[in-house]
Amino acid sequence: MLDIDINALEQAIAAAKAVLKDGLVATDIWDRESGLSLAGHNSRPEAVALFNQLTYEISDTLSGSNFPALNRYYLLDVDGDNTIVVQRHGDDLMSGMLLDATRVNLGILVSVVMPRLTAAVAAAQHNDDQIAELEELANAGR
Amino acid sequence: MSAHAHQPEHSSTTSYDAAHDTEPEHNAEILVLTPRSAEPDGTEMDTDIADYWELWSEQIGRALVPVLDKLAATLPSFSSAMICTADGFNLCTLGVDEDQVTRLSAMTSSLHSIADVMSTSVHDGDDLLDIVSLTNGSSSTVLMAIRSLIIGQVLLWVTAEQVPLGALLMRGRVAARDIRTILADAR
Repeated sequence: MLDIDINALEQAIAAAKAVLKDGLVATDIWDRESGLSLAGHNSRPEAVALFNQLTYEISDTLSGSNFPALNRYYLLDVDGDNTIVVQRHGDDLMSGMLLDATRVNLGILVSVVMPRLTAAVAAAQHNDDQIAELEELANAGR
Repeated sequence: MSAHAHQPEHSSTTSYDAAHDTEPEHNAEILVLTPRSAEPDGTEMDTDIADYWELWSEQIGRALVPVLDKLAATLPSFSSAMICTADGFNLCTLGVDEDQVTRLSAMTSSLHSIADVMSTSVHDGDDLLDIVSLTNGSSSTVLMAIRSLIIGQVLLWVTAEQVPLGALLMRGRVAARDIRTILADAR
């Protein structure tokens, strides 16, 4: 079962926003199973649901074509000098960013922002030890 | 019902702690639950627990406090949470004014019952209702039914501001898992 610290996801988004500044138009991190956003900036629920579906279709297309499987991310160049990047975070989570390409340096995006987001999302997922630690903290408070 | 586990503020400090420190030592009375046959819906309370409800509700409420503390710690803009029995008796609350607890737990029970009837009238099958979600402006609430526990069925109510529904559902499911871990009916 998904057990993710939502505060940590929001911090990950704030960190991405701090680097990309006005170049980050909108972003969401979502649960692949439900297609519902867990955290976001200018959140777009419809885009979350549809990109979730699109990503499954891309995976199916690659698989059906006997191509290598989709790995970590894909980029879309869209009208109006905008870029969309969709990242996979393991089997459970995905993230997407709508970017103003005139304000975002692609090198910063691919080499700085995306790896940091990957690491932050991974860290936000609780393992059993972290859950026990949280429970200890909660118990210590009383 | 179980005011001992009720916390009016978000703080982890509980009113019963102070009382616990000053109370004289008590000898434990061990109540052994008699085995019962499996109950298909998992919604009925154990009769032994029902017979000693005053005692059990206080202990169960205390045991559930860490579940709500964890919810508050992991949900940004957490507003309130409550765990009550299906018939509307409060077991444990966090972030709810004390004078609202009884009313809220009774309304939660009614809301779940009405939603259950509505759901079965528009959906096929006899499956019991699992989740009700409410959105009011920036405030979202989920109400979850958790079954097959030693006290039958409980209802979990969680409210947060400016939190995506997906986040609220996910944290609610984790809390439901934690409640099952604490109150699982293993017999």
